[in-house]
Amino acid sequence: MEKGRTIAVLGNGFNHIFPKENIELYNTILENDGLIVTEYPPDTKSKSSFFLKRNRIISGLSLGILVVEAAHRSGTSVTAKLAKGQDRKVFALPHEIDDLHGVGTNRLIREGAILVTCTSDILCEFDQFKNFVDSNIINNLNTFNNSNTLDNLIDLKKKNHKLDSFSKVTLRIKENQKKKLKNTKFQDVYNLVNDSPISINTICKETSKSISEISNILFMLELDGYIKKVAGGYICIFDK
Amino acid sequence: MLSIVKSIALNGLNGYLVQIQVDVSAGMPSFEIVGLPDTSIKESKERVRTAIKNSNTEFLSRKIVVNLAPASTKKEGSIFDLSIAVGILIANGDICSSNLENDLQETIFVGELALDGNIEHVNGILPICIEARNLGIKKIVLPKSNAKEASVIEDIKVIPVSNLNEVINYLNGVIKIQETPKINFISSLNSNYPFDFADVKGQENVKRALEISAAGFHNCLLIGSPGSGKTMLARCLPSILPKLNFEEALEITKIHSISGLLSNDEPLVCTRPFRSPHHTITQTSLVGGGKNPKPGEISLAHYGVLFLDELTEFNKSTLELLRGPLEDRVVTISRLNSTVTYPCNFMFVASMNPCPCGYFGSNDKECSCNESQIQKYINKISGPLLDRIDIHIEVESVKYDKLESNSSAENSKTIRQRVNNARNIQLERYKNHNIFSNSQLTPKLINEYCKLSFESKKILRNAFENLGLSARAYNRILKVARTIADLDNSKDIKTYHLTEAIQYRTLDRKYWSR
Repeated sequence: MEKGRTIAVLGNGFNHIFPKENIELYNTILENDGLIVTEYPPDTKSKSSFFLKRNRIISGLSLGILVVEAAHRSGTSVTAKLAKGQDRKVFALPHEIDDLHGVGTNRLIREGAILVTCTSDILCEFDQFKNFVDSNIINNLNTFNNSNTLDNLIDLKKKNHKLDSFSKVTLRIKENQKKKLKNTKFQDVYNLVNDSPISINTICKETSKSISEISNILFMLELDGYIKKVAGGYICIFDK
Repeated sequence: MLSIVKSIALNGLNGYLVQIQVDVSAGMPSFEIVGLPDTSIKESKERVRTAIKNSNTEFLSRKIVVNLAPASTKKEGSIFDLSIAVGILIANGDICSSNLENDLQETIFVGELALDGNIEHVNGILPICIEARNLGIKKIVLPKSNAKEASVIEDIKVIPVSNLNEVINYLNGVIKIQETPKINFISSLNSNYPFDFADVKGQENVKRALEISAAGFHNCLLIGSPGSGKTMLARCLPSILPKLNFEEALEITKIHSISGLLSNDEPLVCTRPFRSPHHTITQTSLVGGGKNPKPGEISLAHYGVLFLDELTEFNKSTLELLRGPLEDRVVTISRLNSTVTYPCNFMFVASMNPCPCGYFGSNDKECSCNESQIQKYINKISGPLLDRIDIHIEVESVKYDKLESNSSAENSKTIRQRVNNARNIQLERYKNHNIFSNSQLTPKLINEYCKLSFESKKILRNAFENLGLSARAYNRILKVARTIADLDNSKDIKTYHLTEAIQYRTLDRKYWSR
């Protein structure tokens, strides 16, 4: 597939980029043959009401919109409503039911938005993209057909009844894709780091190494791109 | 007849000699005090008059003039009461001056009088005694409750008195007063601190970070959810700080003495101060001030810890005041009447939540803030202030089962041992540079003492490029790495010292990265 391009729609004039930190982003878009659109004269300053209004242009320009996160009564939900009115397709990522950032997307799905779990879910909806889909679906199926995975899946089911099958599958896929360490010296620490943040204290307890030793190992792993520091601890980085 | 009695007045932490010259002569009965006295001294007229009357001595109806020399500096406070009374009594002949002539030259009188003749406690005795000793004074007559505090100073006789009658009898040679014995500094060093790291379950990473802070006197910021134990951990910090030496203890006591914070049982401050003002603190009470400038919290935390809990709740302009003192380690307060410099070599420790709701990055509870809210919250602390904090550490909340477990944690005594060793290494290394810890290293000294191997340099460059560290972190990392190496008793900074130091720059990476 070709490289995509970016279109940005502003809620203000070109002379008042908001927020200021985004000037760099603005330039990057233009350098990469992107497009920046606004309905406001160059000297217009942004107002909060403008942003909601410009969302109708975003949805209008698109074939469809994918809502990744939307809280209850958020601007994103408004955009989705606008898109519906403009006869555009609305896609939404499902979230766990108690996830505050997923209230809007889950509601959209209930109201008839298309549930998305992978790129092919989107591509299938458009005639012009259908020919891209086949290989994608095959890729996905390969993962599921792996007998190893199925066995593991059953194992997991025994271990944890609470997980629904969807998250079990994603968990499994992710573990398969966890990078292989070049330097096995740090393997024991690396094994503990998964997709939910783990704190240095927990690692310390599990491995009975000293804090200074572990922070040294974690740093090396992070520098080599195996793990990442996030709020609350470390997570591993998966192979793409 | 004229009499001259000596006393000492304070300007900030420094004292100067004041001569109380009293002249009693025939004429219209009057009582005047000259020499720029403020209201509290003018009021002492009534206290002195009544106290003398109530001490079985007649207050003669004569013309009395009292001059406080040098007459050009403003004087305040009630500490001259006793010396004025003694001056009047000598001039009156109630105290026989003939056998005192020499003695009076080498004696100072300090104390406030009550109406019944009792002599009351005054503030700032320790700096007064130090100044007196420097001026060659041999004896100090002072309130009984101040005696212990004064007995810290060698080479000066401390005569505790409880009322004016006692003073008259003592000076007339009717009674003898036992001089207060000197206090031995070493024996008064008590190591009993109510908080101990052994009481804190888990949190090994924070303990390690605080150990490094204590060893190198690095400023430290604790970030964590509500109830994760930030305050508890910070309160334990003084228990691992290196022991005070006599000069440090004296300097702390001086500041506490003029602020009136000394207790009778503890004449000398022997534990490092831990000050934790509430976040509603005003600018003046933080850095010091007032008409006659008094030390603020930062000076009271001298050689100890200034802990600001919930840093983001403090008034922003109040926090910005810390920038100068954190760098200079002294604060100069200029007011109309006087300019005073107070030392404020403190360790700055602060705690804050990671976001407005407090649960960003927490496992217990979902954070309900969005990115811009978090950014706004963190931005309440300015870059320059953050720049002065060497160590950032995340405090995670402790699980309930860990709280219940009996697993023993390392106690403060063991940690302090390591801290002391590291501190001794630094004292030895910097003895020619007039600094005592790694945190005070200047860029020039960093070049000299924080040399990195080729491999370490490569890793550091790599870290800066890949982890989005800000440039301001560079020197901080080197200083902290130096301390970690000292804790490890290593002459050079090894790669693993450096990598651990980088881990203490959380905020440069996660929240502040743009």
